[in-house]
Amino acid sequence: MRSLGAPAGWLALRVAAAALTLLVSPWIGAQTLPTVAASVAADASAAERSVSEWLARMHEASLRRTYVGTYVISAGNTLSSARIWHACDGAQQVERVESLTGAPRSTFRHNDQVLTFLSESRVVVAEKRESLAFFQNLLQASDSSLAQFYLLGTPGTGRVAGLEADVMELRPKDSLRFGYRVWTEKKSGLVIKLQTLAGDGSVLEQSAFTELQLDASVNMAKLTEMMGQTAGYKLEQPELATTVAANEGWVLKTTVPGFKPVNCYKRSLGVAPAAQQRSTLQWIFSDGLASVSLFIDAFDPRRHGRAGVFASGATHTLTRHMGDWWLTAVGEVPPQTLRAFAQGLERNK
Amino acid sequence: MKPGTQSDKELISALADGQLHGEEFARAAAWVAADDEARLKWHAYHLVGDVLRSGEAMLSSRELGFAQRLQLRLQQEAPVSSVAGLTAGMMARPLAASADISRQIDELASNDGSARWKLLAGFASLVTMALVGWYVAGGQRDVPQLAQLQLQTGGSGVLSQQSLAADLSGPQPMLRDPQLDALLAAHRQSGGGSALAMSAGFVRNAAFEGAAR
Amino acid sequence: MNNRPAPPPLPALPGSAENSDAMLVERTIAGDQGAFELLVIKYQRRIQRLIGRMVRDVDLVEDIAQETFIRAYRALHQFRGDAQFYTWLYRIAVNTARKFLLELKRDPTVSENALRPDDDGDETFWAGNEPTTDETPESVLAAKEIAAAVNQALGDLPEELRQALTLREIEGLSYEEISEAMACPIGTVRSRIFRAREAISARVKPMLERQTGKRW
Repeated sequence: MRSLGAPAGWLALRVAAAALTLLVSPWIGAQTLPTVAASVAADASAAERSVSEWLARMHEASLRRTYVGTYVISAGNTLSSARIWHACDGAQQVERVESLTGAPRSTFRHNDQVLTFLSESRVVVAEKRESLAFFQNLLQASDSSLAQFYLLGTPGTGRVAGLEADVMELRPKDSLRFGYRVWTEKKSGLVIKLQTLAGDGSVLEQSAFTELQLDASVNMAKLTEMMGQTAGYKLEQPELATTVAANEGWVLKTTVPGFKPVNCYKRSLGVAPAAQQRSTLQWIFSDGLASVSLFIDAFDPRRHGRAGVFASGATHTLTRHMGDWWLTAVGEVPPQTLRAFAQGLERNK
Repeated sequence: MKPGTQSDKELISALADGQLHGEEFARAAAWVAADDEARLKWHAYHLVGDVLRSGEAMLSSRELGFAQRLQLRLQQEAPVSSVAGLTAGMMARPLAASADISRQIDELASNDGSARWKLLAGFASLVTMALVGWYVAGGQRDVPQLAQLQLQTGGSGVLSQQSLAADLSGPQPMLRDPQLDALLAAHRQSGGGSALAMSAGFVRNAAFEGAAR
Repeated sequence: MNNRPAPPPLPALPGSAENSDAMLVERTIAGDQGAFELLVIKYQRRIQRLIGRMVRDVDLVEDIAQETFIRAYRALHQFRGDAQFYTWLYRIAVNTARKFLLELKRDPTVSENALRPDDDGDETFWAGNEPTTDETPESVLAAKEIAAAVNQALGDLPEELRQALTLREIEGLSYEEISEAMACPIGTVRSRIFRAREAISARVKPMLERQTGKRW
């Protein structure tokens, strides 16, 4: 399938990106680029629009292509890997992911319906994964804020899993978020490698295919059939109800630049046998790329003891005792962003 | 060696963690291998470790008999010290050449421009990624997917005090905690995580690993 | 556009100080078969789980696991002490299982139920979702109970014992690293880990006795 995005728009993007790198860029290192004399301003706004276009193209590719591959995620001091089969047929998508590390785990997705088989505990968890629809809405809604908070870096080329790729960098304009380096397969636009970068350019997390067959023949009917084989498994459907933070008594008095509230849930956590019966509030914010979840629980000294900030790859977690409440803030953002959220969170009842 | 004393039992634990060397190691290894009770402790300690790391269902009803049955078979083997080299046909393929592994590591550590791939970590820790082989359809070609890697993350190896004040200057490494794992999972599933990673399908379901513990 | 610069140098392998596996291999080669048994006990569960993802029949899994260790024993001379024993063993297990599976497929008397079904026709040996039917419900329950007891016992430990054990077993830190993390001498680390293990295995003992009929 022909990838989306007109070649002319891509060229404009390259020119604009070249102009943008003349700004301070600690990451690009010793590379210098020829000065672009005229109409930098006009090209810059074209580049800003194109951030969203480029993201949209990338996202489309992942929805429309059929592929089979193995990927590895390294984050902090852990490595996890999985094998993925992804098939689509018109509007329908089916996906299967088999864990290759850790406990054996099979995940099946049919559009936004997800089933996870935990073979060791014989439990199958059914959930609705809203993130994909959410991501599309996000792209449409936060067009301007993405460009306001991220810069596109120098395009490059590379090779991943034997495939030719375009490489793009997204640099944050402030220190409240991380940067990204994205490899997209040249022909399809599929993301095949992704790095999350700290302010000094070091890699916090990396996900990459080590092997990938695009347009592999994947038997969609067979996958759907496998998804239905729940015999012998105990079905768990965690509680998840949409709500409004203000109705639950919470408000963010000081907003964190770039981050808008996206969703708010009352939910249960964990799966059997460790599933918690009580509900937790989860309030989700995003700047279009990174997201932060604020989990709020009634304070319980038996469970809530360790306050502080923790890191695992790009994901940071902040826990804090706030009067009668316990906050756990999680996000792929630097710790100071989580502190800003904790500072701004207030009870309004 | 007098079996049963507290300090001797402690040796089994130390032996399991590679803390003994030289003469002390030799004596302890010989003792644990030969003494039924000591060997059972060795068994228990490793069983506990496996369960802690990866949850249940690592046990079969013949858990305790496995090694004994193997020993019976091994006694029929020539002692390994007298075997000059490989028995022909033992292995399906030769062990991965180090050149192979280097290439795999290169691909994983692919770099571009000035930024090198470094793993950021709060402390040094060993991660081993297992080699997995698979057959390409119709080709019978065996393609090693993931190299055998030992990654020792850089880092000072220094951790702050475990009792944390509410506001610390730097983040602590994440200790495994099922509650936090569940929150992480909820964050990733409900539209959290990097939007780029989600759209790419790079989904990390660490919480299910936690849940299975 | 960008020439690929030389890859970063590989991080150094850990010092042999804690490579007890290699030391046990050395002892085996020196003539002590018992040392090999210690390695078997250490890795039997992991190897069986690995094989269990390719093969469903529990007896077959055990046979393949036994065969794996025998092949490893015979090939010990090939193991180089600077590598990780488990990754070397893992490779042997995968090859042994594959060989078994190929042979079994050619054998018309072997029931299909013994094997995990292929998917997508591309001969990848990834586990399907079918629960293993071979373990009795009692043994499955017993395994769950033991795991629950371990986790319960871990939670009941005094904080410093639990931390020491967790840092060692789950995070894989060395004694030196744990001693820095917990700001205590290495001797204290060793003692805490030992006491944690003792406390948990004491909890687990009666269940194992019940399960296997053996006494400790």
